[in-house]
Amino acid sequence: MDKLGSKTVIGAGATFTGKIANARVIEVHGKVNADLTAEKVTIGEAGHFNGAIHADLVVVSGHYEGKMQAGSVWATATASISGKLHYETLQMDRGAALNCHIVHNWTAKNHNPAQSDNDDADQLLPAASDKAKNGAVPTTPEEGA
Amino acid sequence: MFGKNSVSPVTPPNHSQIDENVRIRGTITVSEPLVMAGHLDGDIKADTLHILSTAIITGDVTAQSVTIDGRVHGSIVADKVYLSATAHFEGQLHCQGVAIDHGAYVDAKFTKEPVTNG
Repeated sequence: MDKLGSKTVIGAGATFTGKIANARVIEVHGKVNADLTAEKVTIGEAGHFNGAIHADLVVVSGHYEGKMQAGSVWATATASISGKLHYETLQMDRGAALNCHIVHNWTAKNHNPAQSDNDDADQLLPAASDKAKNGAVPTTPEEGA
Repeated sequence: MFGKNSVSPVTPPNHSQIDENVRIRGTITVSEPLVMAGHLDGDIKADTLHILSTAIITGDVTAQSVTIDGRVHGSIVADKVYLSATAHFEGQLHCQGVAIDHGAYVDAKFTKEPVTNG
């Protein structure tokens, strides 16, 4: 019995519809209409992918449409991407067509904009209100001293 | 990360394969050979289908020829079916010819009928 070498391939003549989970390495050369969670995704030149992707690395040489959340994205010269793209690092080759909403997506471990924004807001608001208070009542003990 | 070495050359293969860790819900239609090693909740249409021992399929299988080493729950429609010793099959079998190895678990209703799809 032959081992597959832990790789999933959707061949050029294949059509897939549904949901794919737990795929470590997946290559798409056919038509896929699916939500996909994987480590590494390759969409070949003839590949069409329609749906959401959550992955560490996505290499796009074919057509992609959907919402992608990926650590690293490489759009090669033949890529065509539409939809929404959340990435941490992005490489785009000359010729790649991106018609999409592109968002640089910091991960929580590196940086959490929502958290820091809230912190900033929390820090700013009391300070502002303190100032207002101080302005209204100039003789606070600290300012007096 | 983006080095050429980190990415294998992308040459469209003439077959499809589903890795053993993969969990799938949906439908796969393939006009070429398919090797299935993962879990599928859904239907498969393929030309030549090999269901490896790690595969668990719940759904309908349609193919020209099917080799089963794993588990299938559902109906199989095929010209030729080969159930190996590790196969576990429950359901309905519509085929022209079937071969079953000694040791295979089969709990199925057999129907012989000409099939030309797949």
